[in-house]
Amino acid sequence: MTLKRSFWDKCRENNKRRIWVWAVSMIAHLIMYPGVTLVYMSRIHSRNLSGLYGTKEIYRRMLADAASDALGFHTNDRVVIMLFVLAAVIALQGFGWLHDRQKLDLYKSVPVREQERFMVIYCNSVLIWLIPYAISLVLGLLTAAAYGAVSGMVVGSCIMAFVLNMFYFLVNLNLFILVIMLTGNRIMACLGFAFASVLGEWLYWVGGVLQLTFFDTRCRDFSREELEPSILFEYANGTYSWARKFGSQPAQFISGIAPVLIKWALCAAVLGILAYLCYRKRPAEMAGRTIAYPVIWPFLKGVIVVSGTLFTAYLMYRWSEENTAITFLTLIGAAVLFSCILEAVYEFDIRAVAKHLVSSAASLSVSLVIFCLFWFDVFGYDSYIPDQDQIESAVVAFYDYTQDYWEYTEAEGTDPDPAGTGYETKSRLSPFEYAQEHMYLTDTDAVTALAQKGIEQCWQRKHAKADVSTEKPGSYRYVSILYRLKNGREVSRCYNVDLLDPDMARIIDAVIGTKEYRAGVYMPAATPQCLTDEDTRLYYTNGSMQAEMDPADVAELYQAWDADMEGYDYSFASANDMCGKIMIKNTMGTVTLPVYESFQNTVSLLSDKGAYYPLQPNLADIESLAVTNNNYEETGSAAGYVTNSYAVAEADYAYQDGWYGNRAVTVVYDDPAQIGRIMETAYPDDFYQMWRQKDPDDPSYDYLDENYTITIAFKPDIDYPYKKVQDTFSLKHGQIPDFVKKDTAYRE
Amino acid sequence: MIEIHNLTKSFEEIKAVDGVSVTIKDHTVFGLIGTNGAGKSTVLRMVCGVLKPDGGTVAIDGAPVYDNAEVKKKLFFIADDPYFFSDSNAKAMESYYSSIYENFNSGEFYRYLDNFNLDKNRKISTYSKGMKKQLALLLGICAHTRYLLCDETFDGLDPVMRQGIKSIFAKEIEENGLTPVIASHNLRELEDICDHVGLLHKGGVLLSKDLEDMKSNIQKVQSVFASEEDARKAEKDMNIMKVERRGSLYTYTVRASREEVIARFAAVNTVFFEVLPLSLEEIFISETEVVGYDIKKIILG
Repeated sequence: MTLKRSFWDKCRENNKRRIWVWAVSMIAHLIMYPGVTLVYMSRIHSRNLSGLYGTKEIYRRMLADAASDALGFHTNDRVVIMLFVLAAVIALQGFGWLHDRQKLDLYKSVPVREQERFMVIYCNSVLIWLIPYAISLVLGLLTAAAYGAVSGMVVGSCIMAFVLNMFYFLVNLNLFILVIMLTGNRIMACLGFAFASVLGEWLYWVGGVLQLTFFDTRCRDFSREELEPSILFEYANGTYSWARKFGSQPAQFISGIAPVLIKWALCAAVLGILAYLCYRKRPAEMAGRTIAYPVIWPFLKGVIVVSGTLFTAYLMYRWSEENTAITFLTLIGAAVLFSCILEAVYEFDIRAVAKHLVSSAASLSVSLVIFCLFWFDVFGYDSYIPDQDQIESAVVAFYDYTQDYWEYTEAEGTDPDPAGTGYETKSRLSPFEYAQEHMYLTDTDAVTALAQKGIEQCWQRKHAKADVSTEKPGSYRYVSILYRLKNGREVSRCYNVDLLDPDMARIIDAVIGTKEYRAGVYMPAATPQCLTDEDTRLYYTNGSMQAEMDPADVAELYQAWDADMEGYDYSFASANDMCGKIMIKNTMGTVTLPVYESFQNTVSLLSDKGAYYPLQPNLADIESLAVTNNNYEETGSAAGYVTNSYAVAEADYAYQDGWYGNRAVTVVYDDPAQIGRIMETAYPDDFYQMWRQKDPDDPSYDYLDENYTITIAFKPDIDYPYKKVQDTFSLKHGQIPDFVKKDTAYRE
Repeated sequence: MIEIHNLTKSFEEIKAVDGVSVTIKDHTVFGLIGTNGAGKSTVLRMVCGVLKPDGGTVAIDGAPVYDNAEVKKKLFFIADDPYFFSDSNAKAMESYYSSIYENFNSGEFYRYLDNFNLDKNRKISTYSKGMKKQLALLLGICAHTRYLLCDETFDGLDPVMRQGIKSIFAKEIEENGLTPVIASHNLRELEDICDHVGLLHKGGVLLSKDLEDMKSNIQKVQSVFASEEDARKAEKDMNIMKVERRGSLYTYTVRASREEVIARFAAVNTVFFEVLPLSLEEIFISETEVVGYDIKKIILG
């Protein structure tokens, strides 16, 4: 009798022993896809019945977005976690027999080729995920279709999600199979899988905290420069960040995501091949042991001991306030402790703590060397500036300045909010990412001069043991520089630069007074998408009032403003106050353009359009001013600022003893003369004076005084063509009227 | 034929098998005897291809067995603690093995199950230890492989079952040329089953011989001689393995055929002599004492 069985017959036979995994996979997918889809659809349907969405068009869009969210690419953490756990369960159930001597005796002695056995179990493992997913997806689409929520975009999104999920599942499946091959029992396999999944992230994180601790110029603002060391986290974080990085258009997105998919596919292939090779070479007698290949133990132990030791030493370095002796003792103690613990786990015997002393000593030595490399900046990380001839272009982003002009926004009222978690953020890029994409500074002399100055100041502060937060408060600005090198690499550094440095004005002028710089900060206003976006809204504000303009004026206004910006640089900005802001809002975000009184083209055009309004409100329109003096000098810091001053604005005088020893005093003024005097020195809170930086010791210092806040109460019967948007102002330091100081002084 | 040559296997610092060389001829019942830890299971696991030898070779009909599915078709391994699929019954195991072994005879299997009063639908997890061993043996027999490797499989089987299995073995050897290889730590359990015995101790083979050869080549003789001189004459040129004397009664364990012994003692002046049969235990005691081991400690405790 000759037995001829096909590959699929063997798969079927193998599946007889995997029924419960099939059931788990099926139930999980049914809940995750048709189940969640039904919940989303019915929720939106009932909201629509209660008239929440207004029009049928919005209702349809809500349904489509929800279907996409439940079934397609906008899948989220729950799917990533499910895929991760399923991969683990399927792999362990399929290949876990390698950890069991009883099963090994059976499977290894029967006449089945090892290659064939591996392929049967592996293919079944993939099918156990794939078939329930496919069935659930179809059921989910049918559910969505019943509500009329299926469109081409939804199907496309499902296909994209399918591809991503498949590669992600394969990476995790292959990783776990490899871990099973390398370990000897199930507990170690699960620990190993968890460890392998977070290893990249952990090492990257430990390296990152050491860099941030010891390297003053370490920069993490340009996220696109950052590596993604763990596919687990890459997918968990990826769905939203990819949409922002690659764009929402299918073609754009596919070309953007392709390298990620290629990376995952390669990763899955390499892990799969390694898993197979280890399967073929795995000694059966290692079932039940900790590690199946003792040769890898010293390396594995080294990675855990070194990274754990470095992290512990970093913690002690911080807690002991950079105490050298404690840090070194911690390094030695942590390395010894971790080595002993690992040896006890490896041998499953507490008496084995002193085994493999050579690898323990090597781990300690490597930990010491690495820590010292960071501590003493042996490779000159902080002093690194690429050679001029290596730099192709650069990006310079002043942290506060950039953030003020390009911010995230919410697409109000357009989000289906299927999960009920709040409005969906439609923003695509952070200011740094935008700058990274659009700013190409070719005058690298100016950039490297800025970097050089940053390094010099960093060293001076280091030697003087000075702290940016206490030394000349407010005079430092955080600047991030990204160098694009000719070899294709991108390198970034961050510096805290002192704006009071005599050379700084010249250096910063050379950087920000260029069209290339503006392209990386303001260009969204002039992009074709911005100009044609039907959701674009155009506003002008003087800090307290806001006029909405015709969006059709965007291009003309931008042109006028751009012409005025030709004379704009740091010297100009630090000597002048903004008188208003143009705000262009659309689905991409909000672009804010500063307007100064000397911007003749802009002011003239705004006036022609009836949108210009002077910085100062009309005094005749003000009914009263509530001036609050927070008296920080009494509490010692701004931390004491906990106020309910607004609640007492109607009283002549009030005093509150707040949670943190609050000494805020609020006085309400309704005398026109006093109001006029106060308003002379008032400036809108919202107009953050990024570049208005002068020496506090200089008598002409007019930076906003953080002690004072003014709340304007306008007369109720006045009629403005503007919408009131802001009613809090601050007072300029050094120009505060004496009567205000006296009235609002803290009294016991 | 299974040829084991200079086989070695270590588990870290422990040398489990050290230079074992044995040849297992076809159509015999081979017993592998040894104490716990002697290396019996390790040898069997290498013979069936579960473990890879560190050194030496295992060949079945001249072909290596490790990672060789074609060769493994010729053998069936019953481990000391055989694995059955969780929540399975005899039918499920039959289904699996019949999909693996080309010659698995399902009809015969179910007949044997009936004969041994094993319920094919009952969950194996509810079987007693002895019932599980019976089931494993029946699966192995019905796979109709040429070699059936049993690791401590007969330990714990009641005499009736042992007799039943022994009958099946005899039938299979005769009809299908089965070669069972049975490892056990209990010499008495193998005495009535094995044709050939290999004795393992501390990873090595102390001896490997046919039981019949051993029995025919070792004789126990009790004799009372007419004089001391007659005793010296009888002993001269005889391969005496052991001699005991109680008064005038001499008891010899002699390596020679029965005929040779009778001829030699007939030629000298004896008051009385008698050639007695040796039990397997006695043969082993004698054989191993010759090479310096105390078999009572090794096998019998």
